[in-house]
Amino acid sequence: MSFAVKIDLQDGASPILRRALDGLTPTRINPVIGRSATNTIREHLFGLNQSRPNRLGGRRTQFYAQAARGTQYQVQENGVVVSINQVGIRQRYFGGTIRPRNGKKWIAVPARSEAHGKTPREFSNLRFVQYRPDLAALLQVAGRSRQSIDDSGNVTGGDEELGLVMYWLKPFVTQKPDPTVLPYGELITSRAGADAKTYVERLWQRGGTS
Amino acid sequence: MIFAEPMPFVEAVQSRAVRQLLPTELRTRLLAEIPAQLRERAFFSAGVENANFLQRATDLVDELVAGKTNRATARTELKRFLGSLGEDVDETDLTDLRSDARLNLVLDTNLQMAQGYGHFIQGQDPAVLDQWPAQELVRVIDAKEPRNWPQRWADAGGTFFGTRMIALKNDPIWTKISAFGLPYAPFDFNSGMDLADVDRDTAIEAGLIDRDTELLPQDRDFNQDLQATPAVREQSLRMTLAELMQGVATFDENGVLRLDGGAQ
Repeated sequence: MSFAVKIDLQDGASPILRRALDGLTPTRINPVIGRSATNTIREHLFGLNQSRPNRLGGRRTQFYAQAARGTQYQVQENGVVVSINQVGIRQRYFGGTIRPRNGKKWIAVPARSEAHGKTPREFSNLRFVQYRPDLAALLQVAGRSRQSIDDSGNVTGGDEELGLVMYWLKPFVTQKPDPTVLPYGELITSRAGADAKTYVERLWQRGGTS
Repeated sequence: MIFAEPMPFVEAVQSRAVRQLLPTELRTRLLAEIPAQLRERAFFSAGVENANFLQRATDLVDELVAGKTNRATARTELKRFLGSLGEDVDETDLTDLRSDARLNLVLDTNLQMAQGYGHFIQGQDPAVLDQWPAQELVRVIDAKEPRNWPQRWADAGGTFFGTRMIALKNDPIWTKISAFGLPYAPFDFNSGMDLADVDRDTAIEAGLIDRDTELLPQDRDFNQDLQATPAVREQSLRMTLAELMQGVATFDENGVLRLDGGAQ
């Protein structure tokens, strides 16, 4: 799931900024606050994308860069909401238990780099093996044993030989919360406050805030 | 305060809404010759004539924009639609519609274009444009074989500030460096480049603007398009394209844009 953050500068605003904010219509200042927060979050997420390759080492899905590109603000009557429209970002931030949906029994966890960023259905050669009531796996077919060649030259018979585990299957997965997925709230609001302040000061220097 | 539910990316959604399906046998080179204003109002993929596939793909891009699905799930759904789930194909072959590389390209390019437009149009809000009148072309994803963006920037007449590639948001440089002729990211297929806002103080230091000059916000006229019904928008797109491509390509009886005299 994706999620959204509401930015509220009024509580922690300096007296100067508070006067400035009071002197402006929300429609004028809120986009500056929203864009500032969006920029801070985008920068943070692009940075995470550079510093956190997937641990299996496979082809990257650029998850955090995509989250950065899905970050945007919407001005509302009573403030600004910044939203990160990217599946999985809320789970990373809050953590929690994921259970199978839509009648499925297992959560598939990639075990190898080739499986990273792909769904099990995209593979044609996976076989289900259950080890315990709460643990199973999808193994790659490595080949066949005891094959023979008939009179026409066709290869027949042979049992499937299973090779590497591509996915572990679990009835649920619990992940720890990771608050570092977002920049500190204070950083977002202090930057937004500073941007709003310079914007308002410039309007005053030009001779009015109307 | 953090909410569980995301807010719709309204501007990105609008850029999706103006796009009409364009099944075509044309390949990338000829499609690139269609004016950008028409291409950003069409949903197509080089050589894809199957309107049902395009419809499924555009629906999935909408879900990606909304943050309701992920790329692997969307790609799996397209493979299911194509009947190619589990088929052995060269996953790096961009010419094979069944490959990971091609399906990722379709999904990523369209998703990023919607998001890029959304970011662009939010940046054109008068107050935002006043505070951040310029932007910088920055690498956000490392590439094994990066394109030479500084060279492309220089060829397009861009000015460097040290090594930084910065220009006013409404400078024509942005459409010039874009393979798609659009002023917003992505600027090419599978590109690791994106944009970062540059505030007015920095833009003043770079000599791009003074304290008081206010830039005129730009848009792509999508609001006007959205006043019309989808049927009217589709008819308008087809008529304009038919006229423009006269002697090169024609719509057949199934609405597929075909090259005159056979495929390329």
